[in-house]
Amino acid sequence: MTLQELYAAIDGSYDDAIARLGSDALIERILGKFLSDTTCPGVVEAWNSGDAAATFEAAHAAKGVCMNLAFSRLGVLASDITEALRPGNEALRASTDVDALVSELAAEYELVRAGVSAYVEAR
Amino acid sequence: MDRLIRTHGARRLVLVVEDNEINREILCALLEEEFDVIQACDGAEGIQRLEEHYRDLALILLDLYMPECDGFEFLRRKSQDARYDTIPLFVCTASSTTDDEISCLELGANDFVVKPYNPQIMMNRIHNMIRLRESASLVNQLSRDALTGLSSKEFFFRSVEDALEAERGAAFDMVCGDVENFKSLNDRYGERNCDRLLRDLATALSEAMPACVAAGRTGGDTFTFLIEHQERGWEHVLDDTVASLPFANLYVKFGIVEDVDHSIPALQTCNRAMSALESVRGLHGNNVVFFDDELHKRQREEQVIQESMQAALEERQFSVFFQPKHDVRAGVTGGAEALVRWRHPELGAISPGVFIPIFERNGFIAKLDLFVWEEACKEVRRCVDLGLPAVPISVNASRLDFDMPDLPDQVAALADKHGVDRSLLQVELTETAYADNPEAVIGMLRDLRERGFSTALDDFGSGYSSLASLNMLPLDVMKLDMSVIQQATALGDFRIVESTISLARTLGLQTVVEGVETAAEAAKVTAMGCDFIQGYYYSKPLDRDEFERYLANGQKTSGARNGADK
Repeated sequence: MTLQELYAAIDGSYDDAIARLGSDALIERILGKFLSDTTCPGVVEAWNSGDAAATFEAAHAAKGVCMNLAFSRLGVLASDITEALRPGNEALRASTDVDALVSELAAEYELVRAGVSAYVEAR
Repeated sequence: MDRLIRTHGARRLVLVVEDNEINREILCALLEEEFDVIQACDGAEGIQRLEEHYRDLALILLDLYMPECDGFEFLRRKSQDARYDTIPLFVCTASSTTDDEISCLELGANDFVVKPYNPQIMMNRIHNMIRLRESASLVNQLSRDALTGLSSKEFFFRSVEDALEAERGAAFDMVCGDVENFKSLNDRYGERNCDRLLRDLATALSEAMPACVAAGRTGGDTFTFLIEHQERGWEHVLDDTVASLPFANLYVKFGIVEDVDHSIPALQTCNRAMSALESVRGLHGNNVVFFDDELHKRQREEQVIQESMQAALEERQFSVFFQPKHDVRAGVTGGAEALVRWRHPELGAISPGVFIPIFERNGFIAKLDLFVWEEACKEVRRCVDLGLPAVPISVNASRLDFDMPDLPDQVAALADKHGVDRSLLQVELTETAYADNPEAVIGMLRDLRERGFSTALDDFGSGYSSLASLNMLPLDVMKLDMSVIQQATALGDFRIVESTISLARTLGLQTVVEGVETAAEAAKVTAMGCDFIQGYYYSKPLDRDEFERYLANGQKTSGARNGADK
């Protein structure tokens, strides 16, 4: 599997990643870190414990990480959760199904993780 | 990464404060191509790295949301320490609200970089910020005096001209302050202490100055201020401020130009303030002087004198007079002091009190002193040739003469040229010359004595007399200043005169009492054991012919008033 194929499989943008990071080697190095990064699981964990403020902070962090890695779909989900839970955005939160977003993020995370894991192990 | 605006020179150091490892790695990977990067995992570690490296840091990149000490807390701590003021900081954020941005900016953040990072935008922003900050810091270094924090000279004058230009209708005063005898303070207290003195003085004066518009260090020990015009009566603040500082022997003279003329260059206004200040330099008591019409007139006069002095020397407008010194025990003339006079073709006679200080400032005095030395040598020669009693003639040395290491050579050469016995020539110096440059003065006097000349301390008892100089200087003669006799006569109390003569005798010095005008004074000081009397009671200064007649005829008229026309 190539990096392009990986990014296509996990709803990411290889073009975006290479533009930012400059080399496949660097992308690969950082993908390796993603496997042990707790940011995305942290969002699910915070939401399940009923802490909206902690969920906002975790989602905010996840958005930064995912977007930097050009995991587009995961980044959009993290961003949607962030905006829905951002203090002051009560109207948006009322019209948003955060439960559904968090479930979707959890599922997407598993997809990305599995893909990255398979890629890293294959190297 | 093309089209980057690169900063020049060595690699800069950047601090990245970010808790998420992935974000941190990406950021560092982007930066490491061009910068040396230090990393911190949270705000607390960031502060620690900042403390260690703040001198070298070119930029800080800061994540906002971190556990423990977050980005806001980091910004707060950074803003509280002035050492960190000049380090620019970018906040890295995935998405921030207006409130967050405002808080960050208020806490001193300079800009934001948004996650996901766009390398070109981010690097260009970083370069621009570093370049801006470094050029600003360079301007700052050039515009501020590092020691005192006041404006540098060039920057000060530019600020003054800007202010005068911007507010044409407003009235300003310019105040110059200059430390008296700074060089000797430096010798006595050492450079470090004197640096502290200058810094404290600059700070105290800037704080005390009413309605200060600009403050600059315009010379080594000179400070100049532009203030809004003040009604007179405020100026005691200046003396009070100097007196409040814990430095002994600190005297500062101030010159003030009121209602500064907006149409003349700031430097010229400053020169006027300085010339007011110069008029009281070396004088006790009066420390603050306003530049007025009288001073302005004097300044113009000074200009004329400066322009005509060289020609005056060539055209022999200067002449030397001789004031006899009466030898008390022998009852004859025992010496004379050579005194320079100037008759200007247009201005008439110009008093030495006017031209000598000017020549001392512009350095011409050294030339004039040599002229006097030569005239003195010629006169001794003439007396010998005419069969008159050859008496020692003394010549005044100005403080500038002691900056010329070859003075003893030059004087010796003149004596040899005219075939004059060196014991018939004496150098007179004032204590101010000694105070300015003690080492050089002592060395030169020693040299002169070894060559056979004698030495005299002039004006003892006026101004800054000190017993230390009597002890330190290689002297043959002490001359009591005329003010000492005048005061003794006015008070009817000659105890100071008597004890000074006795002190001189104890030190093995001969005494000359100057300014003796009456028989009573002459009798008094004779009884007190003085060796020579100089003053109108015996004779005023005489031109060459009169002096030679005096030597031929009058020298045995001991105690009789001779040619005195007070």
